[in-house]
Amino acid sequence: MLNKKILTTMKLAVMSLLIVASTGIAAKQGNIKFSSHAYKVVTTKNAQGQTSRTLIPAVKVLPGEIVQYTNTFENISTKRANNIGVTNPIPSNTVYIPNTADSNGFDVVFSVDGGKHWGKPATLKVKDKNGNMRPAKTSDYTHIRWKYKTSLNPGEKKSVSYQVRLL
Amino acid sequence: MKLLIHTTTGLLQGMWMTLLLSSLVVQPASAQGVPAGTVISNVATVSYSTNNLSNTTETVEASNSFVVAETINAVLTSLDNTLVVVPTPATNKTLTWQLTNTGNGTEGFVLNTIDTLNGDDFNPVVQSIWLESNNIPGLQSTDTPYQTGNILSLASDQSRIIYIQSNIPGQLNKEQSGHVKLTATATTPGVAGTNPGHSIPGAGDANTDAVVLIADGQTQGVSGYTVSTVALQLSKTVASIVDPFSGTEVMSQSRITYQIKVAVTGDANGTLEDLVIEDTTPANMEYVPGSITLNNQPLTDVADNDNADFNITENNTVTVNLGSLAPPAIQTITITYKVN
Repeated sequence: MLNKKILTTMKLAVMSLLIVASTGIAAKQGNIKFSSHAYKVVTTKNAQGQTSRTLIPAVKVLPGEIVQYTNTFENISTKRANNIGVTNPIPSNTVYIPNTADSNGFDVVFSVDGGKHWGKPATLKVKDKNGNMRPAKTSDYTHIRWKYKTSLNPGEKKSVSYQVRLL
Repeated sequence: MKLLIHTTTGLLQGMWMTLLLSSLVVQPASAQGVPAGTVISNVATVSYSTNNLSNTTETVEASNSFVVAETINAVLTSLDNTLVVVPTPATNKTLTWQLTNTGNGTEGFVLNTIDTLNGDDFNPVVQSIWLESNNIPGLQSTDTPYQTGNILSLASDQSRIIYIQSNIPGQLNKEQSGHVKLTATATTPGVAGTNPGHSIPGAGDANTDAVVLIADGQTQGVSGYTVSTVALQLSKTVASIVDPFSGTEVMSQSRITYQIKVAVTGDANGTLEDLVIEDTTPANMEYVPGSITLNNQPLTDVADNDNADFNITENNTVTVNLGSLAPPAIQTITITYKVN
């Protein structure tokens, strides 16, 4: 059992090296097919002054612009998948935009310490410059984690999204 | 000797000038965002278990990345609080600007001036452009002359101080103004004729796209000059030397009397306000107590209503506050020092 776990970890390490330069391609064919895509959120105004938001692939992104990440997982096995969790470190040079992490059907928690501890936004605290604890701001968030509340049946597909602003 | 002067010619109320001292304060600009070419990577992991392998968690990772594009953006800020006051005629009068690269990449800029603008009273004649380079505030001959077409390269967030020198025509009336426009244009090929938001493929740092945030990749500003016909002439001369042997040799214990002459000439409707003369004791000399005179009347060293003191307003310095002077006016101050 132990050996198998180590093997899996090593294989993942190799995989992640290979895919660093790719843009949003499923990493591994296992029981779950998993992919992550980045989109630029473009807000446009029509002649009536109504704003609409469209997503275009994140190719040309400028400081201050908003990027949406969408992680999609699909059960490609013949068995039900349980205890599904998606963990996503917030990329460097970006900040999480409040209330943009999908929560429908998911339990969403955040970390402000690199993934050591997790909690709902109201419970998160960080040290200020005087060493006192203060409530965390969304710019303090380092990770997001979604826990899927139910099982994923064979052939079923779900996705979770969140948005960041490029610094 | 330091001179603090406040001029008023109607138009110029409330403007401070400091002669013989430059006071350039350069405000640091805020950061301009993630540098062009930075790779933004996102790596997500899904973990799960399948029910025939209870207690075994498998994980799958997925990632993506994009490269931050370059923004071309810049700001010109006039460091002259208001129009620069000049006599008529005058040569090489300086306007001071600051160019800041507010894009997120390194960009080159070329500078140009236009001195024949409409809507002003006269045309200054631009003589030269200079770049601050010797880290001494103000324009000195050891700063760098800018030649037409030179490329001024600025990293993201970097600023450079620019000086424009112009000649002022003669025979102008007081309060007439003449303007000069300064433009700074990015040198990335393809910026000409573009509107904000236009993208130039592959023209940014690290071969990213460059997105122009200022029309034509150009920023510009207008500043200028205004004519004051109130003029100030200052002179400082040695009025007398008395040595310990009643001769006129400079030696230890000799007493040297300096004469500072302040002459205000020109338009009788103008005034110079808050004119303060400060004279710091020269090296190797000592102030002779009670030796200040103004127009041959002795003034005391203490802080009282005679508007003069020694070592009170400024350390080791004679300060004489002449207040407001309307032309024509001549004021003569004498101060005596003893050689140590």
